[in-house]
This record gives sequence, C-alpha cells and structure tokens, in this order.
Amino acid sequence: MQDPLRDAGAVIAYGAIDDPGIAVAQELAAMDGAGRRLSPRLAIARPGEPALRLNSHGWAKFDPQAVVELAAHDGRVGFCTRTLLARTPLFAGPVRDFVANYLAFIGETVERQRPILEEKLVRAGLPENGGLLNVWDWFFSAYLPLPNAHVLVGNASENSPIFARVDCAFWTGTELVVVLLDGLTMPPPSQARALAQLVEIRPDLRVFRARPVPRGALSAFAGDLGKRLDGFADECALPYGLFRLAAISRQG
Amino acid sequence: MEGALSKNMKLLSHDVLRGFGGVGEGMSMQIARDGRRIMWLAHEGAPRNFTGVDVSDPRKPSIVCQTDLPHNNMRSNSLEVCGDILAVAYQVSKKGLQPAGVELFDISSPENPRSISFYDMSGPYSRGCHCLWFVDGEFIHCSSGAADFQPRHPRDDQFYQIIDVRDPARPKEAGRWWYPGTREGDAAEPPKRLNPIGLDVVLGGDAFRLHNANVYPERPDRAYIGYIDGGAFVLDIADKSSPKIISAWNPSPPYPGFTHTVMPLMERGLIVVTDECVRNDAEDWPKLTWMIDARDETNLVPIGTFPLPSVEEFGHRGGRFGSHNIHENRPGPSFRSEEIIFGVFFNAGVRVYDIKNPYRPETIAYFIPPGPENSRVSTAQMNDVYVDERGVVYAGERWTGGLYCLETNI
Repeated sequence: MQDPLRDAGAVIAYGAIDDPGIAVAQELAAMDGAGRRLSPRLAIARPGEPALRLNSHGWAKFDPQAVVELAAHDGRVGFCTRTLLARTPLFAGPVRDFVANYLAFIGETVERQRPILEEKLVRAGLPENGGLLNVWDWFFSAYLPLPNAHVLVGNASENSPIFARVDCAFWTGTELVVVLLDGLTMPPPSQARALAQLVEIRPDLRVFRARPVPRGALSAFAGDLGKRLDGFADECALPYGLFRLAAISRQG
Repeated sequence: MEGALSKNMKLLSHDVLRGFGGVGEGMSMQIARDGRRIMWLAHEGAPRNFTGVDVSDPRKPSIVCQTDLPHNNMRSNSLEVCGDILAVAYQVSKKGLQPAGVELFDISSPENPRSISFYDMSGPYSRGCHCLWFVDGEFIHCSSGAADFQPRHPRDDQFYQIIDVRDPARPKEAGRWWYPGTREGDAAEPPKRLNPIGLDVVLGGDAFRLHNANVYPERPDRAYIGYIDGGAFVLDIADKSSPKIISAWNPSPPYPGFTHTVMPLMERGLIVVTDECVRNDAEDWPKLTWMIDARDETNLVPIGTFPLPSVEEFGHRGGRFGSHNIHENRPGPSFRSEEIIFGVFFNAGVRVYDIKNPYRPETIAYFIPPGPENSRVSTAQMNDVYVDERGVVYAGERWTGGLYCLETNI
C-alpha cells in the first residue's frame, strides 16, 4: 500500500515562522505546480532528488542592492550568514549559534579540503586559481541548513497538519539529516510524539543530537555530525559558487 | 470535576490535605531514596507548617507527613527541596516575634522530617522570611528581614539575603542587597511610594521589599529578583558578598506594582516577570505577566504580556484575579521549558502558555476548578504551581482547596 506522505518526500517549513501549516497551505501547491523545491520558508526533499545546497535556487532572494555587495567571496558568505540568521527565530539563541557555527565549519572544511577541491577543479579543466570559478566557490555547495525546521508528518484532522519540529535540517540527496539541540527546553508530549512519528515514517532520517555551544565554538561538528556534513562536494563535479542557475539546481 | 472549566487539561486527583487545604507559595518535589515522589507543600497560614504528599501515582495522592507550626502567629509560606534537604521559610505576623527565619530539615525519611538547623532572621524590625529559593544544595536566596536591618518604611522590611548552607548544620550569611534608600541610614533618597497606604498595615502592597529571588545553576553569577513596587532586577552575584545591579525594569507607575517573580529563559534571552494580584474584585487590575527581551541583559525591553480572560468575566467572581506564581523551571524532578509556561492566576485558575513567539504568547490550556468548600471566597484561588518532568501539573489553592493533580494535552 502506498504511503502518500512517504512518497511525497519531506515537506519542511522552516525559518522564523509561527505556524508551519500556513507556510505549507500558502506555498506547497504553487511550488509543486512550478516544479520548485525551495522557497524562503518551505523545502521539499523527495527521495531521488538532489541535495539542497547553499547555491540551490529559491531559498534566497537576490535584490539588486544585495547583488552589488556580492562581488567578493566574503560578501557572499556574509550574505548567506545574514540571510540564514534572518530566517532563524530571533529568540532561538542556540539555533542561531548553530547556524553561524555551521557556516564557519564549512569555511574550515573548504580550507581543510583545499588540495582535494583544487584537484577537482583541475580535473574539470579549470585552473586552480584565476578562473571563472575558484576553490572558495565550493563553500556554496555545502548543504543548506534549514533552521527551525517543521517536517510534516501527518494530519490530526482536515486542515490540522502535524509537524515534527527540529532545530535544523539538511537534505543531502539521500538522507534527511536533522539536528536536535539538547538545551534547557523539554519537549511537550505532542512534540515528542510527532518526532517519534517522523522517525517511524522516514527511513532516510538521520538524527543527531548536539549540545548548544556558543558562537565560535565548532565542537558540535567534531564528531559524526561533522563527518556527515563535510562531504558535500563529493557528488559535485563543479562548485558553481553562490549563483547557480535554476536549470542546473536540479542537478546534484 | 463538576463545575470546573478546562481546555487541554484534565484533573487526575484532588486532595484537600486533611482539611488544611490552604497552600502557600511553596511546592517542591523530592524523589525519595525508595523512588517515591513526594510533593512538599507550604501552607498559607497556621496551624500547619508543611505537608508531604506521595504523588508517585498522581491519581492517588497520599499524605505521608503533615507538621504543625510552633504557634499561630506565623506562617511557613515558602519552601524548597534539594536532594534530601527541605528548607522552610518562617514569617511571623508581628515584628520581633520568633521563630522568624529559615529551618532546614533532613527528609531522607519523608514520614519523619528531622530538623537540621534554624537560621534566625528575627529582630525588632523583622518579620522573618517570606520566600526562599534553594536549588543547588549550597545557597538559599531569600526575602527576609534581619536583626540589624531597620527599614525606613515598615513594609520595606524584607530584602535579598543569600544564606550559605554548604554546611547545613551551620547556615551563615553570604551576602545581601536591598533597594537603595529603603534602609535607615542609606545615602539614597527613599523611593517614592506608588500607592500609599497606612503605615499600620503590615501586609500587602505599597512596599519596596523583595518577593522572589531566582538563581539558576546555568548562571550562578546572576540573581533575578522581583522587588514588589521596586520592579525587576538582574543582579551580578559573582561576588555574593557584594551583589551589583546589572539592570532594572519596572512597569510601575503607571501600572499598579507588586512585581513578584523574575524568571530568566536563558537560552532565549527572555525574562518572564509576574505581578501579584493582592486585592479582591479586581481592585488592583491589571496584574499581568510580562515578557521581557533580555538579549542584552543591560537593556531590558518589554515586548508583550500573557493573555488573560476578560476582567468583565472574572474580575468580580470573587477573590483575586490576575497574575501570581509560575512554574519556575527549577532543576530537579521538574519540567523545564523556555517555550511553555505554566502559571496560576487566582480565580482564573492554572493556565498554560505557548511562548514560542514571545511577542504573542498564546493560551494553550487551562483548568479552573470550582470554589472549594469552606473557603472565605466564592472562587478557587489558585496560588502556586509545580510541574514535574513527567509533565504532571500540581497546583495549590490558597484557602481550602488543597492540591490538584492535573495532566495536559499539549
């Protein structure tokens, strides 16, 4: 018997949202109709579809003023940081720190893997430096963090969807990686039930628990979580940078 | 329960505590050595001192211990449990009476509490201890007078004191702080009275004295204190012998005063501040619960209040109506959340709020029992609340209703 939820993939409302049901109600049909998988507050992660990355089309809006500031790599990293933090609830301190630390971890990962990533450029026929793309552009191939993610797990009744809330989610193309920060807040029973339901319905789910750490401390990525997230370039032939066209966003 | 109003809350049991159902502002849970959960309750007034209730099965609470006060001109309004030590606050009805202070009990055998020590806070200007906080096994943070403290105004007698109980047999003062200008001899001017009432009135508002002091293990160098008409303070207590003001916030005036509890939500950079309603029939309306943005602890910014039912509906039902105690997220066998807040609002019952969006707290559950028998007012006056880590809610009624054990569907 088919399971519509499982077949549809994960529908994830994310960001500084009060009611994930509204995000889904307002955007899911339109996104599905247009073949889009990502908006500033909704992501769809279907089995078989490529990873959602910082350079995936749809999560960020590049208005003309922003584009002017994106000429240099640091400006582009700053844009991603600002935009993602603006999408993270103002009073979710540990999640905000997690997102900022993740982006710092990606910067360190690119630096650490630089010889390998440069080699990939050369193999693709590009110069190590000075070409249209350079090694730092790999930064934007990192998996897109979806802060304050609400994953649809079912419906209590008509117009009453149930969401499992996690502190951050990533779609790697093969797994839905979710991060739960073990802070001072215990989940109420309904939240615990929804999370259990998510575990049950998604065989491609990987759950990582991490202790909240202050901004600048990358210890959350020292273990298995870091290992799961630092191989983002493995499936990519080219880095593309931040501005990847929608047409090639559907590729890995 | 017939006559109760509720949403997403269900009564599991109700116990009037052998006819002494006046529950004060002390509710604290012990996990006894044999695994039983004992809910310790302070009484609103004499003759009972404290009661221990086995709530291992919250559907069948069972009293294991009920003790008496030494005399009827005192009360043990507040208590806290840490491990096997119970700390009880003693406040007397007239200055100079004894015993006034804090008594420590060994409750390793819950049926037989054994006094360990008594810390004397009596004095010619002191009523002793009204409220205490004890969660780390090392220091009690409390609101009390002292033998050497002469307030300028008779109702400003209880100030912030830190008692070192690392040796529970020999408690000693570790530090103190009071609102500048409230002690005789202070260089600061006395604070302007908010709602002046007669000097002969011992209890009630028109006071610049401490109510609650909350200090959490996650931030042992900070005290969050509610100073009644003086408002909310964040104190640096890294040096306990010399607390220093980091910030203060006071909605009064124009609001009617009586700041009660200041509870930080540290990971979120928020503070919940409660007022206490102290007059019947909404005479001191509105008494609110406030949401404060404390991301910059030196600049406290109010961003909202918790919704309450309308004053037209509840204000004249009898007794008090408005904010009071909240479940204070203390460590131990206690539910801890920076997103769900449990509070008691006298005749508006036990109320549960979702504050994920702190700009717009939402009521997600409530339970309002009917007025208990033999009460001096017609409504239930829900006075204090505690939530254990299983999510069981324990609420105390102020006059005769005793203990209500509840579960939520949230």
